[in-house]
Amino acid sequence: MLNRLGSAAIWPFFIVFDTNQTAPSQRRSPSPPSLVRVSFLPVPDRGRVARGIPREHPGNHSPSFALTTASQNRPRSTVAMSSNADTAQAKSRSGRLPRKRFYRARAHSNPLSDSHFPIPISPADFDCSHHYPYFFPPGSGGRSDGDAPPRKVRFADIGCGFGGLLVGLSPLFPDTLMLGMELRDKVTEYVKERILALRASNPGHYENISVVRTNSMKYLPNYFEKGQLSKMFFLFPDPHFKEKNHRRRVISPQLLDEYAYALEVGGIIYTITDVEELGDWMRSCLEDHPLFGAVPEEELKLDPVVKLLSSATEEGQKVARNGGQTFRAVYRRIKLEEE
Amino acid sequence: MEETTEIVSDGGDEAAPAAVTMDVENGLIEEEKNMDGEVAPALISIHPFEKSVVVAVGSELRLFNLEGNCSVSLIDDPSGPSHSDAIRSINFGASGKFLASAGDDKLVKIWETSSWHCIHTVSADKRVSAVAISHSGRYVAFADKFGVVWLLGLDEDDAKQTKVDKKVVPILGHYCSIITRLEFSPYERFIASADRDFKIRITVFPKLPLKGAHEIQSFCLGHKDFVSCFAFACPPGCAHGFLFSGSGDSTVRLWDFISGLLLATCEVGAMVGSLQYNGTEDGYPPVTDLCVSSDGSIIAVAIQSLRGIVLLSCGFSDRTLSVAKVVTLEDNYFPTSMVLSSLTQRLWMVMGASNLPTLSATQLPTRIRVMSGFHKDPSDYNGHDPITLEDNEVPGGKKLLSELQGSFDVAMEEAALAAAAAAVKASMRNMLIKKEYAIERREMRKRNRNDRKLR
Repeated sequence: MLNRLGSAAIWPFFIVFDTNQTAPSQRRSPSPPSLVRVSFLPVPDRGRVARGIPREHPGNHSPSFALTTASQNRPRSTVAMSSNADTAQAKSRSGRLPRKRFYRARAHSNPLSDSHFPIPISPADFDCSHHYPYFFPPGSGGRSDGDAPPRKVRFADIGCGFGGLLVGLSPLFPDTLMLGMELRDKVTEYVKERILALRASNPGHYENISVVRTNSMKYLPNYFEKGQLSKMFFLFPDPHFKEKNHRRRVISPQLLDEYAYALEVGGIIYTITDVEELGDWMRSCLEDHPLFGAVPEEELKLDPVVKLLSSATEEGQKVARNGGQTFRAVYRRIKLEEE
Repeated sequence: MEETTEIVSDGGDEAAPAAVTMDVENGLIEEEKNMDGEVAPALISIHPFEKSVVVAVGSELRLFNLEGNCSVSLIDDPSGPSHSDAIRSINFGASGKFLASAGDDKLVKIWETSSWHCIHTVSADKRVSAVAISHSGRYVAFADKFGVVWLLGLDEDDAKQTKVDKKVVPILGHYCSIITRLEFSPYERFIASADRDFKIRITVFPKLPLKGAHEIQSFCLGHKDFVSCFAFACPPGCAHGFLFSGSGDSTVRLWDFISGLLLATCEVGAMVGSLQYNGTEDGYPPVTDLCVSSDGSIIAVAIQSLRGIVLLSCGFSDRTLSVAKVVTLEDNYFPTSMVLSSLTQRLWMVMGASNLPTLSATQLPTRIRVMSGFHKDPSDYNGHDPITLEDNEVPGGKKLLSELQGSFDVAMEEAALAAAAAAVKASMRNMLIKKEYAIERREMRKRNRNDRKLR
């Protein structure tokens, strides 16, 4: 999922990384004073202010607010992960799950920037066999079973974050290819490692999920053909409170056109957030869009995916832990009716 | 001091591109402080029934009435501001009732072509990069540098007076990418928009477009750099027509725009590369402009730094696209914009730029050339070239040239014009090509990053 600014639920989470990472770095490599300061306070200024951590005296980092929070939080986050992926078992075998502490995640990545990562020129250029080798054994030429058309990605998790939803969905739809898209490279790297470890420790499972580092707001049509997807997920996206930054929101009237293009008619778009303002925004964008119609509540109760929205992702678990409220909007891609 | 260190330290791999984006927003270029600012190319457009020719250079619109063989002065909207910065796009719709002009001053002006009054001025929020008029003449669409396409409705009331629906509405958006061209497809079924993120989007133009154009027909994906120009062609016996596009990757591509399928690619730059360019190029030069006759028999392509044009031949049935002929013009003539008149099959070319630091004259010079004698069968160019008309053979003759060029005899300014072509080239590169930082530079930026993996 995309991460975000300004929600109280999120800060303890980042502090885990800050302290875990800086402490060993200081012990191992004595770096010049300026660097020490920088590496000790890596998050942007506004974050530091929000957490009430003073800028001065960076070297003097005796256990403070940050460290205590971290020690309280660490076991929980491990529990959260193992609940999804049977961590203990995984570790005993060859596939070791990656540890988040080694993947320093930034809270944000600028979605407006020009990107330097490789992007497929067109959907035909997207190499499925590289992402899902189990479904595309070498020599089959991209055709998995006889003369059937090659399997395509059907679910997209936009802003997949640490991949909790993918891991949760994978056993529910073992034959459906799913792709997570995440803009932050460290997080993508983590998810990649996580999936590989899960595959190694559970042979034959988790073969249908993969992740790419990309900017889905810019390059979605480079990955998916028209009507290729049956489900799209936007879980806990970055809220971007300022009006000036609303154009950075992942759900917007204009981007919905592109999502409607990638979704097949009848395909479903799932959105959830813990920020009421953003929840209202996403709902009204979807409501006003002529190509989307609300999915009735009764149908949602029967949909096994809906339960995962708030429980499978790391962000959702955090919200639940803090007793936060979530706002959900699930809409179906409909055919346009010309008046 | 401390602040500076902070910024650098935050500028890890993921934060670093933020600076670049800011540059895109301002239309400025980071670290290229030595650049002499933005330069817009001179543009040319012709009335669909060849009643008039218009040249835009800088903030100036120069107009010549071909029918009456006289120059025309535009009567600006007294209530609205006038163009004050470079005009980036001019367009007569297919109906020829209006001319739209728009540019860096964030103004879109709609001129009525019978009286040459400005009937409406739109003040946009952002700089306008492309403008188009629907075939019916009922809508004006314009695109800004943030990738949003806006629509303005024009309605005729009973007294045949054009009434303007004052409200402009955003109808579609490319996600924060500069839109380079905007065009309606034949029969106004689709609106096509090209951007610097390598793509062309074909959107269904609905019956009630002011409610937004939400249904995407296709994306034409295949270019490997910004798409600079495109044009529709509808050969006889073909239901929907085809789309040609030119790009910064130095290719011209042929598309079935209904499905977004790439039908043919012509590596124009590489094919023409054997002819020497001015100076050394890193890679092949971008395609800057493209003109296609409505039946697709004439395809003229302008390439940066090529003195002349390239004619392509296209086999629509067997899906081939190849270079038929390279027509070279005199030294130092690099067309910045071209237009093909559909009636007489003349190709009008202009060279010029919006600001020239070296220029002495008060009026911005441009240079106009006209080419005629195209063959119906493009494979038949052997032996007979299209003819570049001498100045006195140009329709409108001396009068037209002195009006549109700024002065009749611009030979003196040729060096300045060549400088203009170079400036346009640099400016286009700065605006549209994605910046790749040198390894050393990226390493330097990463030196202070703090999201390194510790193992």
